[in-house]
Amino acid sequence: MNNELRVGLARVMRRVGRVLVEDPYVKEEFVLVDDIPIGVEPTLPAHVPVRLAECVYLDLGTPVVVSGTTSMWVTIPYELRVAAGERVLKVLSPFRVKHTVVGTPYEGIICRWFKSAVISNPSSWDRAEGLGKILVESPTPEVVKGIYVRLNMLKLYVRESPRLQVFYGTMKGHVRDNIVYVSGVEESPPAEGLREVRGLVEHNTARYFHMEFREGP
Amino acid sequence: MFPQDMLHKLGTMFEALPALERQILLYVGVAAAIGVTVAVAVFIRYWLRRSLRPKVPPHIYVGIEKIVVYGIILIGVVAALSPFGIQLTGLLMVGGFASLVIGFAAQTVFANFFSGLLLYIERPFKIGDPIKVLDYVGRVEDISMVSTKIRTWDGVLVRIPNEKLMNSDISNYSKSVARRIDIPIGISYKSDIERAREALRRMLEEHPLVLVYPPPKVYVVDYSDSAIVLKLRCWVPTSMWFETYMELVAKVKATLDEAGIEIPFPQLDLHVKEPVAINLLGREREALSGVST
Repeated sequence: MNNELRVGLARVMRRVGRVLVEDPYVKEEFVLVDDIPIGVEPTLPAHVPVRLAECVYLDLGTPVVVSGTTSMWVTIPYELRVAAGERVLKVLSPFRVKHTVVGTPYEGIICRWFKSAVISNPSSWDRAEGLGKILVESPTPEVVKGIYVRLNMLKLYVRESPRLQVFYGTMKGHVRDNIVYVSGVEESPPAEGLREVRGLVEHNTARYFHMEFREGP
Repeated sequence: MFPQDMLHKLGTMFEALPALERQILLYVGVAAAIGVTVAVAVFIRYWLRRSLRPKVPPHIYVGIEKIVVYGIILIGVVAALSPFGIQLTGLLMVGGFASLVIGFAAQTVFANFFSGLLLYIERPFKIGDPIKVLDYVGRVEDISMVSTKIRTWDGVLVRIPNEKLMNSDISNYSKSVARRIDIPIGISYKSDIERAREALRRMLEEHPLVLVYPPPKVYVVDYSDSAIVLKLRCWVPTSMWFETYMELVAKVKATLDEAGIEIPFPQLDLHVKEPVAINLLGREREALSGVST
């Protein structure tokens, strides 16, 4: 049984009577009085370092030209909630966190910013970032520099074996001012063998966690 | 002229009635007039509730409703009682005079009340907004008919009359989603400016709450007496402005230390044109003479 989990820059380590959680923004240790199971599960990228953003802006770096109906896979961040039983101890970020304004600083909206990339072969993807498929409708050729999606639209899925893989539900969007605005998400999972997980951490509790840890040396 | 003819005919018929029946009819008429007045007041209250209540805060709405409804009832009842010799004009005159006296006495109260209404219409802030007004900076805790309460950052509850607020400059920090941070910092004239700028820019870019857009900037603003002054400029979410400002100010020195950039003390170079005689005293003179021998 695992006693240490590393995902990107996040680390959860269980030792005798203790659990240590760590990411670039927090390092904290908890004493465990009973042999309570510690669980880890992905969650939406909205809690680290504080809950601020209602949306995610995926900066594609290299602009993408789309025309007609374009389907592409992009990398999307996520966070990890660590819980003892049903009580969430901490939410960690496996990736560096940045925010941006979409619109003006006066009337825009604060979004979580992420340097994303278009992936040509998602089945062989072996890095920590989550993957999401997006269908872009564009009657004329357009240049896309980023993707804007509201957090409450995102559907999060996880595959736990042979290793942790995070997926997002297939998104649909249209282009305006070089940005794809996601307007809908498909109900069905984007691939087989995925389990849907709850999006945001609310009331500081969690109901189920599948990646349980037992005490290590 | 139809209504006048009708009224004249009704008046003649009324005069022709026996005294008792005339009296009964008078009471019935007065009761009906009062009933109609109350019905009109109830209808207006219903209309006010439908149109104003969803838009106006309760503490302002309740006052408006009471003034309008009781005013209509008072005027209606007095007008209905006019057949008994109670004259509306006389009452209005007395009321007007009383209002004048009360108005002078309660000038400040009314000024505050109407300022409160104007503040509501203009809405420069709402409860919970961080604002700066007069010498006070804090969060708005309550807006009432005559005053506004602000909880300052050091925990003091300040009550400001609405009239004073209306005549003051108000800065509302929550009206933008992002707010700018400016931090000036001096580096020594011996330092590499580009190296310092690069280190500070990287520090800003690594902070999770410094926004990617608008992009952070570090630039030279002044060649002052003791230092080259750089300015760090970035935007952060408004709700996290102070926390981020504190963190960045604290990190600036560590970042410059790490990059080998010196933050100089204020210094003054003194050049003396003529040789100046220096008188040495005590041990210094002995030590100097010992060295020379």
